[in-house]
Amino acid sequence: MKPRSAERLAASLAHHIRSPLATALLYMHLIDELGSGIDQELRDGLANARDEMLRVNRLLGNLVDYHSLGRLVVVPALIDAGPVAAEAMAKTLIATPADVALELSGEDLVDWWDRSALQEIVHNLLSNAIRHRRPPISMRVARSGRNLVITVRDGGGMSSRELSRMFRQRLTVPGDRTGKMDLGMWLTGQLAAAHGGAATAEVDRNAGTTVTVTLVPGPRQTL
Amino acid sequence: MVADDSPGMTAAIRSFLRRFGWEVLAASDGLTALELVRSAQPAVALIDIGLPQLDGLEVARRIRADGLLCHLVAMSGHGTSADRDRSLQAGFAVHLVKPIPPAVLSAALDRGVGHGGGST
Repeated sequence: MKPRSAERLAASLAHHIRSPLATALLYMHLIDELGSGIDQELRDGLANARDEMLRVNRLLGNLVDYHSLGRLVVVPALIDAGPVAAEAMAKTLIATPADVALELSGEDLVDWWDRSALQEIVHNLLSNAIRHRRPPISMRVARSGRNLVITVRDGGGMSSRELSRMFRQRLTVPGDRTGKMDLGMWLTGQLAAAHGGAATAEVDRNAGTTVTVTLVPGPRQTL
Repeated sequence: MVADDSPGMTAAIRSFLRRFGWEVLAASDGLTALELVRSAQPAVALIDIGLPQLDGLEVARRIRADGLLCHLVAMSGHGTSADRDRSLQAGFAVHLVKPIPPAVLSAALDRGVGHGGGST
């Protein structure tokens, strides 16, 4: 299949999958909010399932936006990036257990950030490092001027060739011969760009790989 | 009144609203939605933007052109400023992005009628 045809198919599928997904999510919300006789363990499981479905919904939304607009769309709100990044990291580590050191700078990280984009970026940076590279892995979230900078460092495992195509890879099937890059890192680069910033990576033979995502606050959305 | 071309979504919203004492009418396309609003004159109309035959924006424009006093709530999978602006310009009072948490849905309905029950 030609790449453009594959993208059209992906966007069409995404559009059609989102509708039943929205219905299922509404029922899950209803059970969570109105259901009685549900114990805490089941309620936690329901919350996890709902979060996973919301993530699928965001990914599908990204595909639809990219196909229709040629770029991703962010909707910033006034939020504290620190707790959002920490929560996204905790959820990623439930799915892919690993030791990751988190460093939140003491700066005020409240600004106009897209919560979903931030969650997706943290998830992709960490899951990619955990799956494809060596420990120790650490993540730092800090300001650089007005901007937000998310930095993930690892203990190595990426070649220069892989580095060069890190954010360029588009639709791939996990485990195919294209190797260690996946849709997640491409998505990370696109989300950073949509947020006015960029994603970069560098490899040091001694210090491992450093992936840096910079986000520019705003623009403010009118409701 | 709830208008959505997904029967599952319509059933979910109907199920939710009935718990709070709302009487719910349903439509699965824009023309039927418009006729229902004209004939039944519900207090609130929840209308999906992507309806077949007549899209949600056009349904809202025609309801407003008729001068009907109905609290119009848009539902959409898209939530950019441009999407919201288009809804508001068409006559919607609120633009909700799917998936819609029930608390957000309740708040949007209450904004229109000032209480938790009525006809939609």
